[in-house]
Amino acid sequence: MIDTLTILYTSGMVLLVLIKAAQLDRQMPWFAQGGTAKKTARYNWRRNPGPADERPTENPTP
Amino acid sequence: MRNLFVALVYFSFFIVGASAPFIFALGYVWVDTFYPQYVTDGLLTQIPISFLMAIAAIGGYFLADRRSPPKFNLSLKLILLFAVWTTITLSWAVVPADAWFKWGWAFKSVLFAVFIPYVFRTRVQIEAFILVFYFSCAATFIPTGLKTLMNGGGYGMNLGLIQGHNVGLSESSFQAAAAIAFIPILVYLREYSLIIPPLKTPRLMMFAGLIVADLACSLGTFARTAIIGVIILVIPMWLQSRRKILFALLAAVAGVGILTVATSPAWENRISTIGTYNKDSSAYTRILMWMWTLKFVGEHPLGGGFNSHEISVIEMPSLNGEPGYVEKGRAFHNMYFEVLGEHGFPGLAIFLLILFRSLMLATQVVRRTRNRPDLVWACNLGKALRTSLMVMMACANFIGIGFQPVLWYFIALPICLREYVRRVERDELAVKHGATDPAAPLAPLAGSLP
Repeated sequence: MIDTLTILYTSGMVLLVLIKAAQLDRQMPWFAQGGTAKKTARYNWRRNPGPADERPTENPTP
Repeated sequence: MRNLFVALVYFSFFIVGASAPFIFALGYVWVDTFYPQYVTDGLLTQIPISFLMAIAAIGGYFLADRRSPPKFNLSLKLILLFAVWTTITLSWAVVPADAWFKWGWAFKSVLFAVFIPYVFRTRVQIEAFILVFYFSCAATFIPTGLKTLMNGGGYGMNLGLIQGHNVGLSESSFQAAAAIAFIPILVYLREYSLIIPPLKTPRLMMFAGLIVADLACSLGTFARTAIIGVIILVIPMWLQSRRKILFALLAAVAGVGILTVATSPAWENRISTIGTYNKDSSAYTRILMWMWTLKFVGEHPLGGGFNSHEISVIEMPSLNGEPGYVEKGRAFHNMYFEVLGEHGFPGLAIFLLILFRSLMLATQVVRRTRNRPDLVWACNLGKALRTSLMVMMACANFIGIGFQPVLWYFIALPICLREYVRRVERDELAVKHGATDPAAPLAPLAGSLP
């Protein structure tokens, strides 16, 4: 009984941690952490899309 | 049902990992410490779960997650050098077949410690690593702690989930050491966790309950190592506490309470042998084994390769009226003698440097973030990790855990945290100097979530 409850509790907590961690991780501006300008621009555009013609190109002009 | 639930958790790592690759590495940590294949008897015993998760972790990192890598600092170089050196010692191993067997899992533990700072870089990722690491180990601590509180523990009784397999935390002294080492981390998580929902009272109660379970687990193993661990735990925590009298009172009350509930005359008899080690055969054979190791490395200064203890022969004199005997192949029962006997003086020197370097990195974090309100969590985590590692290092004087993944996770965590602080400082410096680099930060960095 104790063993089964322990498995359910600890594995359940692990499940909660990985779902919550993935969710929090996605909220973070990853590409701002040493990513390239292209990726940063694309990431920010995705979070806050502007008009289609302003979408970052593969090789943005510096 | 439990087979199904554990399998669900295992496959969840793959599903969630598809959107955040660091989850695969969390999966590897879980498999490596929880051992689902030994806890269940369903599907997970049929497939190479550790191998699949390792492939996913490494593949996920290289294909989708190579952002903000850590500096290839001295710690990582030393760990890599240690992995190489332990491999080289295989060429003069005194028991080659068994040496290769231990190398198989030991090399993975050491190498994964190099990989950890590359995968866990932000505050959320570091905390997720700590939580998954803890809850995987808690699958051993909780049942042992609860059974001890209900029925009392016992020496040599394995009350954890893993039965019949000599892996990970199934060894009682190691279990006691790890349970105590996690206590400062639980105290930290109680206050600073981002991942555990911030419901004040339930969170406080959950972590308080886990601390009690850890303490009961360590005492219930009847391992003398637990007493050493508790002493090493309490001193730094008391020194670091702001309200020293209150801390001392609470620690005394908790200590007396746990000792009253979880211990018995049998426990007292067992623990009292600390003072009479030369009359206790278990303790005395360890001392003889350490003397054998010193003699062995005198003749083999480069060590005898993994599992070299198997050629040991120690003569136990007559004790307490029992006749003397000869024991062959006794384990080292000490992490430092284990590394010395297996990998010689160079191996021990590298290993000690790795340990002290990790302690130093945790101290550096504490010093650099002491006066920064935005990094107060890093300061406290640094203190907790330093205490945890000190507990492991002290307890390891009585257990041969030099290559156990749990120890290497404790070694790798300060590296992750120091790299986090370095990134924050680097980016702040760039902003201060008015960096016009288009790649310069656009938002708060390095996982600085609220």
